[in-house]
Amino acid sequence: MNRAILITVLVLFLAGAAYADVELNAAALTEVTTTNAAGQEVTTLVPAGKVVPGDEVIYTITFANRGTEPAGDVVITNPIPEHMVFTKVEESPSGASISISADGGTRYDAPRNLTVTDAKGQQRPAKASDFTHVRWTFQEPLDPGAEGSVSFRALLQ
Amino acid sequence: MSNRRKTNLFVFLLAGALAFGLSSAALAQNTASGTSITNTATLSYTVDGNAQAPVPSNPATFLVDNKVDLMVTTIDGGIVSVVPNSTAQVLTYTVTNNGNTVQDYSLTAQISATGAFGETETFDATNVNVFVDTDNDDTYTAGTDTDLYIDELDMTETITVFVVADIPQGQVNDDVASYDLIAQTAIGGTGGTQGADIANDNRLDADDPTLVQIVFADGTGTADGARDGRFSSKDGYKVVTAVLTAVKTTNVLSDPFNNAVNPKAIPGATVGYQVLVENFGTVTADNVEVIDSIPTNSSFLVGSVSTVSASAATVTFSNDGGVTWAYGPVAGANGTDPAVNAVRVVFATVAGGTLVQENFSVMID
Repeated sequence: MNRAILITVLVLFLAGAAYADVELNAAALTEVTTTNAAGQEVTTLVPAGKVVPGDEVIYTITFANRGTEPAGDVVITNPIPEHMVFTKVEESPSGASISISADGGTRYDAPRNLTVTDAKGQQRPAKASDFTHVRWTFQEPLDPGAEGSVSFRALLQ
Repeated sequence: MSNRRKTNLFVFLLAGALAFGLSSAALAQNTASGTSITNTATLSYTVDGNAQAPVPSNPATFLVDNKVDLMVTTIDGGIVSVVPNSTAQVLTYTVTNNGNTVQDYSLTAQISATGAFGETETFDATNVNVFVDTDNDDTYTAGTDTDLYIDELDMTETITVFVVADIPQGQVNDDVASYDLIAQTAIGGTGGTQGADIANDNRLDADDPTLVQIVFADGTGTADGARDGRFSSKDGYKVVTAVLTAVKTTNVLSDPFNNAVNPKAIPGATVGYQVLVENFGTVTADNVEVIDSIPTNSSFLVGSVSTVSASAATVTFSNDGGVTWAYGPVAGANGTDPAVNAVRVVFATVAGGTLVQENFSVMID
């Protein structure tokens, strides 16, 4: 009996030792354009501190697999924050497919396939302002030690 | 970063933009300052085909800052016509809060060297005041519209503002006085109290996602620069008044010997006087009075007064040099009344660009 428990614990320990530990970090950034010494305009990304309506924010989500096992079927889902309107996907890992939801995350599809129901009960194509979620679906497993980022732009209303 | 690759999703997004008419300009942009915007992403994955607990990201949060943007526009649609010696003449403007925060605005009417519509400034109005349209009827109401600053104008709201001034006497036709109405953004939030003017924004301060910072986003008005928390619009007064000229001509109409053929000015001759009054101005002159004294050594021919006028012309006579105008002429044997020494015609109106005429005759003594 005791032996069986020990084995079970050992198996669990071993299983725990081989793991995928995925980290996710979100940052809100804005573009700042400055002129360098050579008179060229240089655009840099800084943490979004001064944001007023009409400004675009770049949301960057960095991910990393700190574990020892590949993470499969990786999906990153980002709700569009309230008061923000999705404008475009900024960057996406190769092989990841992007889909959008316009109904609070129930259905994800290419934007052109999305519809919403307007106030009169009529179906119409979804507009960017209707988008509620953006989702990246990875085709390849995320290997141990692999890291990367996805990002999208949104406009503060 | 090995598997990160920037992917241009232009085609994907272009299709979306075309299909859905994506236009950032069409989106309402008025999220109130102080609103906290938080973004959290979630990552789900499997290990060996087994779903693992989804991983949430940290929340990325910032506070919406105070966008200061305003618009001042004159709504008179053209320079405002005024007449000399008139009081409480009104220039009308609107002030709109295009920012994302309730603001106060202080108001200044500043004399301008150049006119709103290309004119040159030629005079200053007097008793110049700026009043807010307190009763919200878009019309200046003396004694009611008395607020001197805009109190608590909410975002996207518009209020009417008046510049009210007097026009000095002695100004002539086409004189122009121009004013820039300058609205300066001030701190709002306390009703009934004029907030301090916001002289500078926080552009020199480091961004702070935890503070509501002020960002000037206003454009350039007629008397202010871009991104200065102010906006301005030009409007003006133009004097339009009646300009009257009178031309008097004399004709000998007949004499006792030549009668009407080449008559000469000898005793007993009849002399006709014609007075033409023309209004070269653009507004109607009322109660235009023409007084003629009967020359010495001549006598007024009773019944010789005639007028040409679109309006009523009232003829009166004086036998006391113009002190009173109640004398009734009585014709003597030769048709004259030597007691008449002045003739007065009052034309009720002379419209701009028109003329009136008065005729009367005397006999040389």
